[in-house]
Amino acid sequence: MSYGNTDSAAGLLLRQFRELRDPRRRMPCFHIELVEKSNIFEWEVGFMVTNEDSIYHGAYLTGLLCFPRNFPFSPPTFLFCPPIYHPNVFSNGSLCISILHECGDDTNEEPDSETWSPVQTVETVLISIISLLDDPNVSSPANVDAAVEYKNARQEYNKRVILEVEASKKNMPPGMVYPASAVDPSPTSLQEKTPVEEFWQDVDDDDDGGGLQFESD
Amino acid sequence: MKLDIKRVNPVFTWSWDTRDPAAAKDRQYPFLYNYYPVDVEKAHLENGNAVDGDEDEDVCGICRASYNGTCPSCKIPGDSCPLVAGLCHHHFHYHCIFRWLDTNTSKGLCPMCRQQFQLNSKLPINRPYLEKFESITKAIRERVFLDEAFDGNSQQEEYGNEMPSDSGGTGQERRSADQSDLEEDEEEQEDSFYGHLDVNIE
Repeated sequence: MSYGNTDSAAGLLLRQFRELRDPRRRMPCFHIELVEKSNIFEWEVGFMVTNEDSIYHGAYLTGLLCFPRNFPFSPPTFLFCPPIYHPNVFSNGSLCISILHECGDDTNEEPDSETWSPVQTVETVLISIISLLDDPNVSSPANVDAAVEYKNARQEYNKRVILEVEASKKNMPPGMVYPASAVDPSPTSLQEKTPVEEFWQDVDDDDDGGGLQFESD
Repeated sequence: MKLDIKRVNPVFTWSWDTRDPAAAKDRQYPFLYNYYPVDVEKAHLENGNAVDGDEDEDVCGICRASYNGTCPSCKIPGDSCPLVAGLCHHHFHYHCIFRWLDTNTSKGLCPMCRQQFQLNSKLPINRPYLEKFESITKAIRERVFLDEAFDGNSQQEEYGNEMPSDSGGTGQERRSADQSDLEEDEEEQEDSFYGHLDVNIE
């Protein structure tokens, strides 16, 4: 196939990198740096959750965003460094989110409408990750223990997350000012909301002792 | 004050005409079909897409470059890097959308709306590429059929861990042997089906 090469992916990433770093864009939720100045395919991302209602408010979560050479036709991968305690984050820090899964991947059962598409941008990926922090997908967990605790013992889960949030503040680069909530509230979730009928059906199932059950090995 | 005009430099602009021929009755120069300057906002409204004044409205959704520019792998705009339009009213650079459709994971879907991507045969800008598009969509259909027909887990689901061992040997050995035969058959099928997928786009 005589289409473009890695130069086209690098050009697209460079353009998006500049856009996200542009102060006129007013995106204080993310702090983005290149891991190596000469490599546009690996980004170091710092997340700042400005929503005061979130248990992650005040955190500075860092991660590694790695892009394939045929971007945007294949999705990037995201790795939290250090790993965080979250139902959709593996113990090594690798993030499991539908938007970063390829369509038709046998390892997941997400509908095609939620999987990767080349029209997704780095910005939509980052917003989806921030949305996932407060709204985890416990139906297909990467960390089963965290999913069980999130579902059955929310207070304990919140305590553990708050401890991680406090520890993460030490990772903030010197001189950086945490953005105020009034300036830039946390982006709303890009994922489709569950219809009201299905929501109440889920609640009824939970009351009857049904719903999602997780068993840790 | 007297002015002498010594030289005139005319400047022409062009953009891809994505309007349906039936809707474009006011066209003055039909022989300049692809290059007739159009009001982009009007064209989008005629295609059924509301325009909200977004600055990204006139860029290819995949490469984020202007419709009238080129995709990242091309250098000269125009016929060497054309625009194609789907029935879903989403437009992409020819190389961008065909590269996406040629990936194993696209399933032939439009990246924007996730509907089956079909070229709008009524639009003149699409006509040179209809035949090539058909060959690629045929390959996609065959590929999807292969994925469903030759699922490697089917035998394991049917027999579990122990397959019937009527000709000696353990069930585990039989299963691995059958699995390798299945994989060989699958490779042969792929060779025959995927042979025409290597499309060179000039």
